[in-house]
Amino acid sequence: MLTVAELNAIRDRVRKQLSIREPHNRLIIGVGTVGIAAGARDVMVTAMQEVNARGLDLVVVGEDLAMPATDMPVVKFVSADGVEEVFTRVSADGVHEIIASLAAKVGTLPGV
Amino acid sequence: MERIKLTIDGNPVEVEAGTTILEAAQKIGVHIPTLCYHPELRLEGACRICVVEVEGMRNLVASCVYPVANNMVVKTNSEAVRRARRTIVELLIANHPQDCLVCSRHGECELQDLSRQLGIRKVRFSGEKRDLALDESSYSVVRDPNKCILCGRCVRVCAETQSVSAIGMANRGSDSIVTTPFNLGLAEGPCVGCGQCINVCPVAALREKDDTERVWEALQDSKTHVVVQVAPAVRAALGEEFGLRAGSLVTGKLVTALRKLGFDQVFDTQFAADLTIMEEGHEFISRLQKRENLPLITSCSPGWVSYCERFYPDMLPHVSTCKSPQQMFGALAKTYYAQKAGINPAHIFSVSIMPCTAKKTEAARAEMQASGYRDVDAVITTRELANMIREAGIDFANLSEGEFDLPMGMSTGAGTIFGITGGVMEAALRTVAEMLDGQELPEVEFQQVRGFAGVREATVRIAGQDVRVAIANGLAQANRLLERIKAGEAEYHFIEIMGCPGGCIGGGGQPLSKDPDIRMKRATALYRQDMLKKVRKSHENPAVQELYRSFLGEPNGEKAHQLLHTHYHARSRY
Amino acid sequence: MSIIRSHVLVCGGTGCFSSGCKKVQAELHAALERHGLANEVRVVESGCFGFCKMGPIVMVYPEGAFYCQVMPEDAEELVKEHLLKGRVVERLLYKEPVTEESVALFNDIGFYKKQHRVALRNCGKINPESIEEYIAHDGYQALARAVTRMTPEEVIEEVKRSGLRGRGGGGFPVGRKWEFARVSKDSIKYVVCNADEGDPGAFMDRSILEGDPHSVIEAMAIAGYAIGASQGFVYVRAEYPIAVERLSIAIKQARETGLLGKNIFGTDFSFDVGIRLGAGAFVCGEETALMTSIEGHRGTPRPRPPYPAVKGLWGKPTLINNVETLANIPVILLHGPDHFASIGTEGSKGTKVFALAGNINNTGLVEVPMGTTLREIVYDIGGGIPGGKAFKACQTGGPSGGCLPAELLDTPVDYDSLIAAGSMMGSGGLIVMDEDTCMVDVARFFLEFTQDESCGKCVPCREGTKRMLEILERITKGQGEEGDIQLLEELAEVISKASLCGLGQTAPNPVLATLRFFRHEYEAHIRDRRCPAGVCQALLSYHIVAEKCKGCGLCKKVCPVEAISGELRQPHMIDKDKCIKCGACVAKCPFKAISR
Repeated sequence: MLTVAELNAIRDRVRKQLSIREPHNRLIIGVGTVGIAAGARDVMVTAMQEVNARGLDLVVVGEDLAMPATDMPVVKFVSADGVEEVFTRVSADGVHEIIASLAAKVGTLPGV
Repeated sequence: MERIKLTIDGNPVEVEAGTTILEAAQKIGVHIPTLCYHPELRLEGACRICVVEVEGMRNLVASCVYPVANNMVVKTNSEAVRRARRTIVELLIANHPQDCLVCSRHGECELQDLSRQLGIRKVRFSGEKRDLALDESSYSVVRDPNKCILCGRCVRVCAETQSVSAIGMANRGSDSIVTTPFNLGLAEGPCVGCGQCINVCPVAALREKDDTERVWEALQDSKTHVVVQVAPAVRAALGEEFGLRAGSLVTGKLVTALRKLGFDQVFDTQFAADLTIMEEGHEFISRLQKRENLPLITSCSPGWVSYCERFYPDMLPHVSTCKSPQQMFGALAKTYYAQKAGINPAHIFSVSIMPCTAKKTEAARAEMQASGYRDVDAVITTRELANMIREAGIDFANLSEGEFDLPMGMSTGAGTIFGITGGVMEAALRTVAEMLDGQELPEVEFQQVRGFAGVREATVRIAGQDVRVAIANGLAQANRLLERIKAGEAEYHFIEIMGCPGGCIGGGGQPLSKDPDIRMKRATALYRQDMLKKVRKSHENPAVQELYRSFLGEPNGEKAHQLLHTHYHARSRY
Repeated sequence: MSIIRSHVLVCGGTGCFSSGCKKVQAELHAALERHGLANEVRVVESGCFGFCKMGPIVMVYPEGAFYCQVMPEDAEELVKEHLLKGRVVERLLYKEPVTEESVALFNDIGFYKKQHRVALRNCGKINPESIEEYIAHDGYQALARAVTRMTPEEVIEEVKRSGLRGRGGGGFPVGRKWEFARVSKDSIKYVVCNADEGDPGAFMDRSILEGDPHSVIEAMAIAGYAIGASQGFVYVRAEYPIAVERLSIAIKQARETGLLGKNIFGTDFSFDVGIRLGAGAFVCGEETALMTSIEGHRGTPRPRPPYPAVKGLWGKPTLINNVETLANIPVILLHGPDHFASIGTEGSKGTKVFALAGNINNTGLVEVPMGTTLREIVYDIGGGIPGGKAFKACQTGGPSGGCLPAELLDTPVDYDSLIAAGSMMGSGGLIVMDEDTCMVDVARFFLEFTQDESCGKCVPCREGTKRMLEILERITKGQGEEGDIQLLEELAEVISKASLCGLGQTAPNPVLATLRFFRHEYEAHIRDRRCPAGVCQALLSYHIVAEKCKGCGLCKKVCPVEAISGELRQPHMIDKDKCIKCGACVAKCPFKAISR
């Protein structure tokens, strides 16, 4: 037997996993060849862990961002309503700060 | 019950709710043609011949299945109905061999009747026709799939009335056929040869295996001594073939006709029926006293015996070891009669006239030759006999009354009622009761076992004990009864089972009839004959008594066992 | 711990299955391993995206990049470029047929732009083998609402108010059907899902079962609650192995989760669903034949009345709805009947799924609001006719439907408009035919199908369709006679008026519909012994137009029976007695000098 509350709990839990398919807010990491050489993969993995730990309504996306090589690794935030914010020369540690600064803007996913 | 008021062809009709349009029309004498419809079978609504127009409905409806409703306005003969009906008949004819002149159903074909009734003068459609092989594998029934119009009546009677399902629909669309399991032919499947399918077939897609040529041959051969036996149910039905009223008893004319056809001796199966009672009666008394293999079940009906062998092999020990009257007669014709008449049995050709197609298969059973010769050489049905009489140009209706030859033409009223469901039971009770009680019955008729209900039961007090008996007619009813017994819901001492509804009078070899009361009328004729007989108990048949005295010895004795009893085998259904 | 940042949905529908999606999945897994992304990217098998012509389809989230015709050897590039380096693989994107422009996002593709996916809402979006993904998309919320907060009557009232009509062919109002089953008094009732989809080319029911099986199970449970049934059956053809498998998994998951079984959501309501496999007879889609088949008999229809709602499966009141109809039910209860009724037209609410096939660029499944015109479907969604050919007709309603000509392209697709135009909705087959189609041949094709699929029980359908087919065959062979058209019409009338079931009653429709709009083609076949579309072999007569022939000799070379003769640079000739009408010369001639 399943109660309605339990049904809702499943819905909210899985919805979180599936937010990837309908992203509201996106955190784009520049992962082109230059980006990766500059450490973008580390930034990306850190970002994913941080977002996950905070349960944020934010999807981490890898994209080949066309930016000067000297700015790499680049992180670009795009909010659900299209507002963009670009961070350059981001380190794995720096991404914690960026996410902390965005946390209030994006909010958490339901069920967290 | 709610009453429904409607209008059919402008006439107001009032009927009970649940009545079909067809039934309501019949009530006011409006005849709607039908084809797949049969009053005793499940409704199919398949052939669409009976379509009618119902006001407010887009399409025509099949009146045989469509229930009436209040204020319904029905037209049974509108232009749309006429066009549909005529086109349907044309379509059927277009896929039907047009060899009416040489067809076994010529004059008795419902498709022909429909064509005539609707005045079809031209078939606008041509094209591919079914071209399939005849199924002549069975001794009893021949199937001609090319004549089949797929009304499904045979399939339904075989499944519903007989619970055999030896035939069924196969394939789709215009490839549809009625066929046997795995298309192997009737003889390879569960068919019991009862011929009920023939009786409901509107065309010649199903017919009895015609054995008249072999009989004609024997009759024409001066060196062959041809003896004939006639089953009781034949005399109550043959007249229908010659325009006599249903229920006419034509025993005397029948005897005369057989003599005219050239049979050397005209005997009566009823004689052997009396003999069967002697043998089966003693078998019953013996089993009752030993409490062994009860209930005893009768074995006169070869359709039932075949069914038991295929569907209830575990019940075979209950089936009487007595041969059927036809086979008892056959065995004696080539021994007792041959001896008495001083004729070499090798020169005797033994013919039986039966209301039954399964009898053909029975006569062909390997074990049926205890005398060293085939007990019965040819079996022809009531219908086949009528064909022979017609061919010989005999004016049957105006024949004088003849008498059976002696000794094997002598019979009692008990032998007569063998032809009706419950009759064997009644005949047996008349004898068993007197033998056990040791005194004359105050009343020979056992009304409690008569009737047409599918399964009947009664308790008869004999010699201080209650004898529980049951009667089933039609194999689906037998199936019902046996299932109850197997489930422990009922217990009996003696059971009569007849393969066909109504018993032999409703056999698969009887004249075709559309009279819904036909079985009742034939039964009444036989009961009347029983009443008119001076001797009405088998054990009082002087010819039978003489037979035991001079030839057989004791009932159930050694010689009787050798000639008059048989055995059964479990058989596979497929 | 693995944190997933991307989902790669690989279509696992039957269409993509046959174009090799399993191999693509395997290669994607291997490539992700190689690039160390197996812990970040999840490959998910989804249901059908509908765009079967473009399969195997791969959709990459979160970007929502829509990749078409992905081959196993493309996996490496897809993973390395897109998933590792974030570069969309341009060459695998969909290209609009006319503009040749690549389109990255699913919703920007012309094929999808005008669609409105209600019944197909989850197809291609979720993993059909995961009840959790269904639940995450509000799955079973409608059932929860129905059984815990509504009376059966209220459920029926909402279905009635939604205006939903049966999607299987007849278009009968669903709420009324439910009500009939509700008011039939019996302690045992059944809900049956008709998944015996049989129209040639139609596969929306298969796609829903493959892509979103829980929506059907949920709807059946809601229907069971509404009519008072505790057992449902899905009658599905055994030729749909993927659908059967996904449905079996879904039923098992629903039982394990407690969404099927005893006391659903702690209420008195219990419901379970079983699967019954059919052998694919077309007629078993007819509801009485379907029930007869479930009962274990030969699948033939039986007369109505009694209607299934009164006496159905094993004599018990039975509600039968088809897959697409049921797939709409949760949406109605979730978003309200008025929201549903706001889609579509006055008499036809909601959307309809069509299977686009024939001479059209974008074949596949499309779902559009009722009232969308045929033109929009054929040109905007379907991308028009390939090869610059002209549109001649489109067949709607499957083998029992009709063919509508170009003049009727602006007909809105809804139940009533299609009937008024001379066709019908049917279960949603939509076959587009170009100028090279012979309408007599089309009628012959459909009649061949129906006469083959006739169950053989009633005479008009069994014998009548056979004779109609024979007449059509005669006509297409050049043996037509005066009076044939009249005979066809007379037969058609009797077959449609007197047949036992819907199959027979609608079987003559292709002939009647083509006669209505293309009678002249029949007449040309019969009177002039000519097939205007140049399709009917027996009526073709090849000849070389001397003015156009340059005498190149190519036709002579290609002719397999040496029927062509002529000197180089002189007009050639075809010997009609030798010609076998194979058409090889026509295909070869560079100057279009050979006519037929």
